Amino acid sequence: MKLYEYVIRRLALLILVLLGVTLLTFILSRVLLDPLAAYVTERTNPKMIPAIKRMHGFDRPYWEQYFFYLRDLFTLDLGWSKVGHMNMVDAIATHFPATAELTILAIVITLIVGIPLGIVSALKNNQLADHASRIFSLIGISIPVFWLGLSLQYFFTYWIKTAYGLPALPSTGRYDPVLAINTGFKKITGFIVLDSLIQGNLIMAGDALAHLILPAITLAFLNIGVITRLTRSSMLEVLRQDYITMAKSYGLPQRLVIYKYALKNALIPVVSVTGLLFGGLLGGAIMTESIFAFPGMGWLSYRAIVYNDSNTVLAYVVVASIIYVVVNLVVDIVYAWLDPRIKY
Amino acid sequence: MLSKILEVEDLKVEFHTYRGVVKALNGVSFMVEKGEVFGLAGETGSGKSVTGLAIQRLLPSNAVVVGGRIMFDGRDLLNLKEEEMNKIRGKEMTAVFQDPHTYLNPVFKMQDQFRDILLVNDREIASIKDKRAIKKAVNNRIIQMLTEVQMPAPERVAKMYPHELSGGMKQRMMLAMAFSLRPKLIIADEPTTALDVTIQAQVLELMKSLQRKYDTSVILITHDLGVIAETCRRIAVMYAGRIIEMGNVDSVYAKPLHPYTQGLMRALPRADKDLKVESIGGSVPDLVELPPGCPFHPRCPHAMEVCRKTNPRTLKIDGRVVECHLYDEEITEGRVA
Amino acid sequence: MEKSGSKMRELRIRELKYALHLFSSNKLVLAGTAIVLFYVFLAIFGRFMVDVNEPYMLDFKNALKPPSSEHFFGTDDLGRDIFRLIILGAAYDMAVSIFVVAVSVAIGTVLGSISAYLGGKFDEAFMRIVDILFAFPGLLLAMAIQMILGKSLFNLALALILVWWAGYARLMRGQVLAEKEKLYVRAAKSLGLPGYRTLFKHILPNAFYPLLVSATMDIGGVMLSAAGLSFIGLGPTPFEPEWGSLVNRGAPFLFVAPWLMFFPGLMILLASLGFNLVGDGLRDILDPRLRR
Repeated sequence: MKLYEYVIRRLALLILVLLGVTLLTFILSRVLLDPLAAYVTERTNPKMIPAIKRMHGFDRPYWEQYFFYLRDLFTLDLGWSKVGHMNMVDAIATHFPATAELTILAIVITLIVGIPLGIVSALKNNQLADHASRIFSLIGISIPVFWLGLSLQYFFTYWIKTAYGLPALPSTGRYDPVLAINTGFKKITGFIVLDSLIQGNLIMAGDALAHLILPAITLAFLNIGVITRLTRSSMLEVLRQDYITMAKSYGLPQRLVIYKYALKNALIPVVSVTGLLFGGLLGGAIMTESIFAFPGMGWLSYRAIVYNDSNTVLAYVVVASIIYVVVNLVVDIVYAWLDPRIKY
Repeated sequence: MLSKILEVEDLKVEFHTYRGVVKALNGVSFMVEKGEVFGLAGETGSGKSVTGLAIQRLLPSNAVVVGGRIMFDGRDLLNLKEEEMNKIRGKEMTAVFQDPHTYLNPVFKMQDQFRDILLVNDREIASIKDKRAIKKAVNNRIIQMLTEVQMPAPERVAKMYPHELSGGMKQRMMLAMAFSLRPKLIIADEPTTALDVTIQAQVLELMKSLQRKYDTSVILITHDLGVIAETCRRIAVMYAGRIIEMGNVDSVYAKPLHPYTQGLMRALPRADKDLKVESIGGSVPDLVELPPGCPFHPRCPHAMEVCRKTNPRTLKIDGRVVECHLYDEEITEGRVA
Repeated sequence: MEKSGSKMRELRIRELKYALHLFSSNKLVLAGTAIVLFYVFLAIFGRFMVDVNEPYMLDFKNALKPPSSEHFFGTDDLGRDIFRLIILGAAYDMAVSIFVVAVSVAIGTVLGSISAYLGGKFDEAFMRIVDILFAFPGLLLAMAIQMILGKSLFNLALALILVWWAGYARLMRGQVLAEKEKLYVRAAKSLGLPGYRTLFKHILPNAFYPLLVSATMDIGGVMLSAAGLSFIGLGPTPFEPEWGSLVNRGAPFLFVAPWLMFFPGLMILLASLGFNLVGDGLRDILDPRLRR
């Protein structure tokens, strides 16, 4: 099978899985939960309820409802978000770029820190650096995300100023609105860092990064441990292989052997694991964004939980799952492209 | 007098494993002349592959060279620093390995691996300054070598990945790479063992013609005595980390001296003689706890009292080297006939 | 048949002895085991060491006091002693984590092996269901399930079980399929199909080790997830001193009284670390390659 045939096959499977996802969330939101909750409060006149039911189609048989549910999904009519005070679609559109920016930065940090650490651990196998990084990784996967976020927030936005008199990082939000007005910042894509760079507004970009850095590190920390360990074991495995002996027997310099011949092989499993880690980021975003009052989908979902807005929670779950599935599909395609042995 | 390209003197290598210290090589001595094909024969565990790796200084990290010298073209390889050794690898000494499926990097195209080898080692290519000229020279050389090894469709094959080639094609590739650098010595460890019998013959023929053409010395390591008979001028038979017999292929095959070699010859199915094929009873000794005396004595049909106690001396008889008490006049003279 | 059985047992005993030797010489594993035992001790005996009514002992005059000799970890906004709350909370976190993993392993391995054994269309359908479950990021799915079931600690455990079983199902299915391959080859030579009894006799020894490693490290992971869900408010009531909810309650007072969130969170970290150390060490010990 050629690469594009593989892609098409996976896309077909993806649609199947997404149908399953929508079916599951449909069952969760209409069958097991009371869909009226989003539209009805204690103050609603009980006589109005049947009319409201008819209006939204909740009195129809379930399979009919599912059909309309899917149609609504396609036309992007996802209902109303109680905590967002606007259409679900608008709520998602407004809040998602923040979460996207955050998770992307978190993954970048994870890979930039984790992979080199893993390589060093493998090269200095069983020496001090290796043991240190192993303990670091173990701590990394044992740290509660929310505790780390709170601790970082306390230290870098408060303690560093009061105890050491150093400039502190901002503790909440995505950017300084006053600074935005003063520097004439305009939103283009919704990605603050990108938009500032496009407009040549370096002050704003710096400010956005200052707001991003703590939550991003919080999210990245757990995964750094995973990536380091994986890179280390993968590298050790590869360095044992016969083709490395072969490369050495031809006098290829050490650096070439490690960073070209070994690394390309060793990074293959790392690629696929990165896709899986993304799911954890989408989950952890809820806690991290709420701690730092970072106005993304995670923060919105947190409020939705507090106020019992199941609609919004489920909307986040569906969107997050779709993105997770798509990301993993991309990862699988990259994997197949990287490793020519893969028979699809 | 032909000159020597390699002389190994009393090489001793140990491996440190969780089970104890494995004495893999216990005093191996031999020499290879320029332009000669030298056969190193033995069963699994005899130490033949270890010898090959030791010469290249590619032993794994738990191996220790505890004694001996490896004189390559006048220099003791064991005294060299790693960077100096690395300069010898590839430029003057290359290797061809047994299993082509695992010895080629799976994620790189054949031409990429070949190119790196040439860029690092080939003096001619290294002296070219222009980048485009280098690329052209490298590609030309690759195609030229592939054609020499009779690779079908060389331009297409060069752009393929290892898993897309058959075993025979991969081995031709290895030969192409090994000979492309015109090294003084090639260490070939079981180069045809993993191939089908029909391909084996082809690859062997190829190796012989290339060796003759480039006047390269080859150490051919294998358990297959038939292969050695076809290609080598001299043979050394190894057992339990020692060379127990060494000499010209013709004479050793016709009249093996050491009981082990005799056993090996009897185990060979021969087209010219109508002999029963017999195997040697018993098994290879445990290299961690070597019994005292001659390592072969538990399986030797001619074992004597002295064989159990002392190791045989290295004896030189009629241009043959053999380690066996049977030929030791001091010992046999002491016995009553 | 008899001879091979006792020889196998001999080999197993030797392996166990060697494993124990490795176990006791690995410092990290020992540290991890010590931590785990300490936490188990706290979980079981906590209620005897501290007054069980501590969560209800409101004392507003003493609210938000920093750590002192009287209150080792300070007091919370309701004036309760955090040190004592933490000791009581051990039972909740440990119970939830172990319960979730135990039940998930049970359900997952049974369903996974059945599916693999039956094979065919049933196996295909089962794997599609598992795939759909895997399409959801774990924490989010548990969240969604809890929104339906209602916010309580038991429902939290239930939600986590519904998410976690799929991983073990996949693991077990893989093991069973691998064994099925091997046994069919052998069966081709002898007569008759392999009964499911022989299937399990051969699978269990092989599957046991990776399962054990997975389960141990998962206890640490589940603890983090459970605490995380509590942190978002999906679990215990304010009177159940589960550590995650303690951190949740401490978050609003972060800059004023950081000890509220710090110490419960630290306990979660150490507990999870203990299990991860043990699991990680087990993996190194049980890895057949590394033993040589």
